[in-house]
Amino acid sequence: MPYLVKAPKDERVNLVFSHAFKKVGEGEKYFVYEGRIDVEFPQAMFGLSGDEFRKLCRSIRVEGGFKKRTEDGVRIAPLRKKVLTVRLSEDEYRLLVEDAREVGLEPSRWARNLVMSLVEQYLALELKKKAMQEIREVCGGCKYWTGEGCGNPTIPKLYLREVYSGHRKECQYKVERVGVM
Amino acid sequence: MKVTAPKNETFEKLMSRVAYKPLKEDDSLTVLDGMFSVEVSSEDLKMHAREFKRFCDAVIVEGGKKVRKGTLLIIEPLRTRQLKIRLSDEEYEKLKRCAKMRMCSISFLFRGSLLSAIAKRRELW
Repeated sequence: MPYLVKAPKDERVNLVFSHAFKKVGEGEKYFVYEGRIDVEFPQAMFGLSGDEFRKLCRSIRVEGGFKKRTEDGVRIAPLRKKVLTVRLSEDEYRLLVEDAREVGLEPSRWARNLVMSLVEQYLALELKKKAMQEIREVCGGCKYWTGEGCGNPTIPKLYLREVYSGHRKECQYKVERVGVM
Repeated sequence: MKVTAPKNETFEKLMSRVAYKPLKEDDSLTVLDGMFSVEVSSEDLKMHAREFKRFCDAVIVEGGKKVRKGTLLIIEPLRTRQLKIRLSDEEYEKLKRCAKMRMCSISFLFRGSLLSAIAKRRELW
């Protein structure tokens, strides 16, 4: 579930937040952003003085998530209500703790970061596979099909999902000349 | 975890792939040291069922346990530590989707991914 961040209208803040969050609304004195991931913003990113940054942190409101001051910045993250218990052997746990210490994180946070990045990669790969299959089905017999995407020089370089929809919309080659579709 | 097994080159080769190192060797036995779970099948060792059973019976695991399930020998360390991970709904959903695709449980997926990531970082595999 996404969380909402209400932050005061300030160009410097907006510039930083718009990279990590999606702007979904605004009021007279504030912007509302929607966030999904755990992000940490160092103070230097905002270009604010110590006092200004402290005031900014106090004025930020997070719904469905939380904010936390860190050593040199502020961390905004979604609420984590689900608890997963994993059993590890002594050696495995020792390796995890050593690695976490190396990067300066708690073992559980480090473990979550490691696994979630792998899961993201895996899901992205699955999406890619599915999209490739769809493209192959649609564009497989086309003259311009390169095996990985559309090779029609008149069409901007499109890949995967974009190729799938783009090819159908823009590349009329197959429709006109081959008549497969 | 120390694994004492009858001398078998294929078994040693398989174990070295999951970062097990030989500690001691003599004419009939090999002692290997490692930390990860490992599954060895009778096919891997090119053994008949009876020969494989005899081999499994002779394997001694210190600091862990061995289980034989038909033609599969599973060696795994004792898991005495509990790691609690807090997840957001979205993270949990992603893990669930991934686990469903791989046809395994969420904790199995989490454990496996975590250990492979750690091993990769340390270039153990």
